[in-house]
Amino acid sequence: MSELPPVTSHCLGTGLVDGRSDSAYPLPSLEEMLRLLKASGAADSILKIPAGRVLLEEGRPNRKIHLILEGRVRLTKVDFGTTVLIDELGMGDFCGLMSFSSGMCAFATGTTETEVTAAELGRDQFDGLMATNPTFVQAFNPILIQQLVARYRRMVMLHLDVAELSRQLAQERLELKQALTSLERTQDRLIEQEKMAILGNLVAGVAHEINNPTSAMLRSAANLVDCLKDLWQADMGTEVEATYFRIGMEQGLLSTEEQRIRMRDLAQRFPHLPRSFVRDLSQLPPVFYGELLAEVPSKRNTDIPTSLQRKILAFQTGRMVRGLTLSGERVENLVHSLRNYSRKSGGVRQKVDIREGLQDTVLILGTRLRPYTLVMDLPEIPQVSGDPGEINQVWMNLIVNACDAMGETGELTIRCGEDGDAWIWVAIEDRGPGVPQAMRQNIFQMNVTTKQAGAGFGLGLGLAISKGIVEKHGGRIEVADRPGGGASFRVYLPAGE
Amino acid sequence: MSAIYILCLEDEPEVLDNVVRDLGEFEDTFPIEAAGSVQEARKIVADLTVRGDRVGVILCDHIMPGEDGVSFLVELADREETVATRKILLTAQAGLESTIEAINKAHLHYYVAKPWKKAELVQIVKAQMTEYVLGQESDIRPFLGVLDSERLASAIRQKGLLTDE
Repeated sequence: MSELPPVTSHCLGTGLVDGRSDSAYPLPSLEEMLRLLKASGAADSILKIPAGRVLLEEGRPNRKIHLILEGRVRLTKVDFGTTVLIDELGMGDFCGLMSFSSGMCAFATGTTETEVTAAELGRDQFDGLMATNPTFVQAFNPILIQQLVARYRRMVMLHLDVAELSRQLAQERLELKQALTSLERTQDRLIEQEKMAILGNLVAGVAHEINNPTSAMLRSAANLVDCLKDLWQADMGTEVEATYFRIGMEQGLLSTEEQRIRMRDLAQRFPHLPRSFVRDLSQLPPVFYGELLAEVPSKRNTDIPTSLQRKILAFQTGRMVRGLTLSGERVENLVHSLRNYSRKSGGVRQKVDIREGLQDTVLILGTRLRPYTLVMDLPEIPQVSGDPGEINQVWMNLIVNACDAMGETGELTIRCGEDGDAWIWVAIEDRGPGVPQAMRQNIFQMNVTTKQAGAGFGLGLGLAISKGIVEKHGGRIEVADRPGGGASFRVYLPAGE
Repeated sequence: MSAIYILCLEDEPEVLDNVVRDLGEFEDTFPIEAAGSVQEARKIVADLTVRGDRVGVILCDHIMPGEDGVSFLVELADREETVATRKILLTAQAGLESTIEAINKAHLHYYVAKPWKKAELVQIVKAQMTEYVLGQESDIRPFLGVLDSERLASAIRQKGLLTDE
């Protein structure tokens, strides 16, 4: 098909000007045609037509045919309200030939583009010529055939053009679709990064605000200890109270079980003592019982002596300072972990202690992990090189996924280990329904989620983002069945620098 | 006479210690039992029931490892020996869903957000224990000094147990 000439306006032309012809019928030259027209008495109808005149109107019966001798005519067609230029006629072309000879309404509108000199034939004149002048018929038929062939060729070419355009369009649409998917991915990732950045700033701000009162609290607790010691030192005869205070500070809390047993024993030995006093007493180490019980009131007089009350109060004060200190330290550690967790590395790789990141993540998830039985088996492994904030995000995603998969409760296991010299691994394992074989292929893709819509997490981004981060660090992520039921997600990262 | 207990259930030892300490003034009338897990609390309730004692008020933490507080309260509400127990949820979580569940299913009587204030906690436990005593005890005179005396006295007057003379 490619040997066909390119589609141009000349295809519609009759070839009268240059006499070029592919037709088996010889085409008459322009001079010949003019001579024929003159001989038939139609030459009087050679007119000068000004520019902008309509020679032929689309959809209307055509009563005249023009042989253009000079100037140009535009053929246009209205398509969905738009006027489209379909051809341009020049010297030697017939305007209105097809509609005229077929008797059908005009297919296009012909408008003079310039001043046009043309021979104009009316229907009667034309029919007369065709009926009486065999020479004219002989000259005219090849022109008609030539035009039909040209139009047919043009139609075929247009079909090919349409096919080619459709193919290009489909290709472009595919490319656009791919571009859109890629843009969406980038956007999701940017949103995620932005969220993490906002979270980081927020956490840094909150951490700072919490750190100040926490430091004040911890310092106050420590200073309180000094103050009380000074107080007891200044007041002669209260050294023993200082001892009870120290014991209170040093002794950890009893388990509820242990305390119950001690209270029961004490209540049996001293049934006349009020239970509140028994509770206070039970919290002291049993070694002190002998000394304290010497002061315990008899059955007849149940008033508890002041000296004994003071000792117990000193002990309780010690316990409270201990509680303050421990709780303050917990807040301090939490803030530290929060800061670690959201730490921005600014793209600079650093040594990352995977175990620390896992512990920070678990600490931050705190309450969310409470309902689950958490098993952590984290032996020492080599550090990896990477972005700690990003790697922590992977643990966060996997742990939250594991919890969501299990529902209300279940056993969550977090383990790590070495795989040869070159790799370390982290496994996050749940006791949920597991990941069906059919889903394992696409579970790491964007927008794939097994979670119900509306869940707090679960945009279907978590695993895709995790995979991206792990691969960026030169690692890989795998999912398998966990022996005994559930899913096991395992992340491998290159060990060392 | 069977004793009426206050049961405190909380998995954080430091927090539990402070709850018990804050409720110390009730101890000599209403013995306090402390439990660090749902399992332990369940056993305590069973032991008390065997001895013929009862739980008047339970203060229960919300989120704990293994079993959570709300489902334990639901369990208590379904059992004959604890159906009348006044149930208070003590929580650091402000989750609307679980609150609704607790109120609807566990017949929760009060919801206390951490951190609490001692006076507030004492007031809440006093009010709840007063309700328990009024509903369960025929002789409420022993509790006049410890519980809401005004409420108890007016109840006594209504029953004609005590006159204004």
